[in-house]
Amino acid sequence: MTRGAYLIMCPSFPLEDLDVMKKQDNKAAILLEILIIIFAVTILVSSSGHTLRAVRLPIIISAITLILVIADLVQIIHKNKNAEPKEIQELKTEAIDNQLTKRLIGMFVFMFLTLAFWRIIGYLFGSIVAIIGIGLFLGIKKRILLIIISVVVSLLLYIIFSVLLGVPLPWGFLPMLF
Amino acid sequence: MNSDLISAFINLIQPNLLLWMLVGTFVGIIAGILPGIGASLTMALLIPISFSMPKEQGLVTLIFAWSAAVYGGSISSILINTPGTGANVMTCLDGFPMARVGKAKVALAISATSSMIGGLIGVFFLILFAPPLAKFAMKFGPSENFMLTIFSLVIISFTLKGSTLKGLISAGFGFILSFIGYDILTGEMRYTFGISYLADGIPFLLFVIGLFAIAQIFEFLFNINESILGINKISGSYAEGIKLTFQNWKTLIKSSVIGTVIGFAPGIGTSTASVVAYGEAERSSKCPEQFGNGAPDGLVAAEASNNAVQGGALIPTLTLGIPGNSDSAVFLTGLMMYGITPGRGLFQSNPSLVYLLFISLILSQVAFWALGLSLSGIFSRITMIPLKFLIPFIWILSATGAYALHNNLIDVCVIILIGILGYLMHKANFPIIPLLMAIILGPTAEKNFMRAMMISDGLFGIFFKGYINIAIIVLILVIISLPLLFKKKPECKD
Repeated sequence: MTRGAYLIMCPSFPLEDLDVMKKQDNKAAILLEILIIIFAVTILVSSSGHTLRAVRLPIIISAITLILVIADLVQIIHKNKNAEPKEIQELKTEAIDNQLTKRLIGMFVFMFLTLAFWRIIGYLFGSIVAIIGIGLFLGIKKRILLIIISVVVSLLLYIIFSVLLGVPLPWGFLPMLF
Repeated sequence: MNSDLISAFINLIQPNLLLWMLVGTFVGIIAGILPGIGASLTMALLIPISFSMPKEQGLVTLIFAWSAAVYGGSISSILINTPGTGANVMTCLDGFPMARVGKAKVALAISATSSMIGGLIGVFFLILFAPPLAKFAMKFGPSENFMLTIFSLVIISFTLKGSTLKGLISAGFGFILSFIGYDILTGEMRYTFGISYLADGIPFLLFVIGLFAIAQIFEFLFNINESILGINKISGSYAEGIKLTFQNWKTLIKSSVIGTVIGFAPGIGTSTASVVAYGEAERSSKCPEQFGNGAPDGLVAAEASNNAVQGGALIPTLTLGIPGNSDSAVFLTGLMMYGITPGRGLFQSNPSLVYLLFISLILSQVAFWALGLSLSGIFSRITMIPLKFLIPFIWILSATGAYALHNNLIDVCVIILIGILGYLMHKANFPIIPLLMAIILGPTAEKNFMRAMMISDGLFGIFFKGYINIAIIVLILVIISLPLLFKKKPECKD
């Protein structure tokens, strides 16, 4: 990401944190590239049990990707060795990281909870509960407004998807009991 | 000819038809906005309804919904970085950064106007050059189609901001993911590891929703107390957007022609058209460094090309009965349900119906433009909503869109996982577009690759034969070598 693009995406973020973010990016890049290597190797290894016709292109693409990933990984590790992180910036990043990690994990949990709500109390009520839950988790203080929005949004999506488009949305097993 | 044209026009200005045009446009725009719905599904859902109507009324409704749905996807791309379909992925690149700096109204006006002009140019190509273009389309065999896919992936990897190497890795990874599931030609199950869910592969729409909407939710968690606008305010007007569109008239026309030409090659798809048009617009721009940061010409290229595909895709559909893409395949089904058999005979045996289709296509572009612009003011206010209110809405909308695909909760789990992948890619400065393009184009590319290999008895030489393949290879070499041969253009001051 260019410095300009970064500032557009995160206008309130302190300027000096950009370099630290780049340092962090390398960790993410290494993690991602290891993931791609695992995928590519898996494709290459598991291609052996198939006819060549069915796996010719996957083998070619996986091999090329593997070469490119290793080249990039070597570059990143080489750059990483040369870069000296600053202590103050590391502390700042840690504070931002902790807050963000909490939000990320919370959001992740609420995403899966939404699915549980859909299965238990059905799409309409499940969505209302999920929106209220996520809203409260993110710190919305106007609770009445949050409840109104959750009802309106869920009802609107229910009408569009279920009534107009005919999508059979989850009913949930709890309403069935009554 | 004139009497047929007049009778087609008279047929169209019936009050009930005008009402259905409006209904079709509105439904199309809303369906386009909703992730996972898109033009094909909108038409598929409308066919049973339209079948109960008279022929003209039903076809007009389908055409208006189709045109509007292709345009509608740009609205959510611009406002919340969530493309309605794969066709609007490139719109996010410059549309969303414009919305973030308060130019949502301008971006929406650019999108509506470029879509309309692109659509009109596509239709004019259809009207004027349908038979010769259909003949040319038939020259695209499996090897040419495969090379065209590779060409679009090379373009996107080389033109996007950041590392080209990462772009190519991203495309390669996308291809790898697209190989999961049944092999199209041999029927062999590959790389599923016994998981039955993976038998049909992972639908690309889940990647569109996951990589954009879900990853965007994770990004939004940085600044939940702000709105999409951040510290900025909504500024600019529709007039500014319309003016900017016409100021970039060269990009507008070029992208529309690219969209039409790629549209009539069967099976290539709208996504390729917008990638190629965007790449060309960036290459020829005086300010290429603005691309990806809210360049109006980038938005013009993406939107003009994806709407021009409609006219292009209808060329082989109407003249040969071979659909140019999935949207035109669904439309073809609609035509056949009314007992209309496409082909050259249609132009001679039923000219008034052909004129009706042509006029409807033209009017549908104007209709979504007018309705889209009139709704833009309301839509642009979305960027003022604090992110903590917007996040739950984007999540429920995305989850519902993913669920609606197969009525399966596993699809919703998959978009969460893909969202994590997208977030990781953001953090690692890996471009998402090449990955997504490879996933969208992967199955078609592989099918064409295998067919070409069958034709050539396993010899790779087939990809280097014929003037279309050679032209594509030359273009790929030019794209790769241009940055090495020429110095980077000086940064644009404005």
